[in-house]
Amino acid sequence: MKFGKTHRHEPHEPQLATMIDVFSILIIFLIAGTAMDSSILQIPSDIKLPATISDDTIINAPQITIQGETIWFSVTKQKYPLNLFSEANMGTQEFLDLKNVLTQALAENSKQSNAIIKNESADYLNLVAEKSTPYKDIFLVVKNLKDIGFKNIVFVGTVQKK
Amino acid sequence: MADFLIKPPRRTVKEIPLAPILDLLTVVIFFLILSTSFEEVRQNTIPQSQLIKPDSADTAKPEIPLNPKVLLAESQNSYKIVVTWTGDHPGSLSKNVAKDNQDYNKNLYQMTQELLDQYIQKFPNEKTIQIGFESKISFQNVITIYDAVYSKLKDIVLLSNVDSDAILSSR
Repeated sequence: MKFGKTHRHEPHEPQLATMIDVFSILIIFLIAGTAMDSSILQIPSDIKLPATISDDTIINAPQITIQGETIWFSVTKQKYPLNLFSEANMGTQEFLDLKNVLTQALAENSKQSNAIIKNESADYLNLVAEKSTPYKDIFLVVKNLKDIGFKNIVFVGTVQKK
Repeated sequence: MADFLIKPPRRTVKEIPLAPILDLLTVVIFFLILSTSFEEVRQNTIPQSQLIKPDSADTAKPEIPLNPKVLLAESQNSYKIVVTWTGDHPGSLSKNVAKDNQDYNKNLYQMTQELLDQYIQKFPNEKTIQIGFESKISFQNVITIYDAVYSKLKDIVLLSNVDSDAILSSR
């Protein structure tokens, strides 16, 4: 007859310390992740973007910002007067210089895209503009950028609930 | 006989090695996070112009192109949406929409969709459309009309403000 004490099973304790470590890192990245898009686009704090119900996400491409009577290019990091794109200023040295810079940026972007990932973003350009910008200004910029070689102009807007 | 006096070997329960699993998950989480994007902004892409190749059956009898257009004009208290086309049976549809104080004019969006639905019923095979606006129309309304048109037809071409003004003033 056995009268030995039965072996008591001790419950497993999960390793809380390591789990907490992992979740801490996860939370940090989730918080940082919410601002990831701002690294793709540089949107001035005082600009009011138009709302859109589009589901398409933003792609990494050069950016142009139209604000008031000025335009800003992410390539040159400089502001230019909007009327630089008007018919009257097409032949000016400032316009030709800008056109050269943008053409080079397009070629560089295309080279990088082909070398790293063969995607279509080479000739894309993100267009950021104040929601009150008149269509004539938008079209003037779009037309000239298409002539330079940016075949796909991306209108950037904030999310509008359907 | 003395077997029962020998203490039986203690059963050891194998512990799951949690630490390496968690390490692995940590690495996976990095990749999951990197592949996720939390979007605050969205895009509308104006695609490249495309030529639609006609079917061989149609080549015998070339049809006059439809050149469909969606145009938007603005007056003091309302917007006027016009869908117009040429072709063998030219025509147009139009609707007025009152202005509102909202950022995104949902009525403008819905009315444009309704007009396009009527147009698509007439010409279900037409896939390309031009959108044009009066010079003073705001970028917000351009986006609203673009959203409405894009929900029905994917090939969209921007019409210049000069052409749009000319067409709208002639109506």
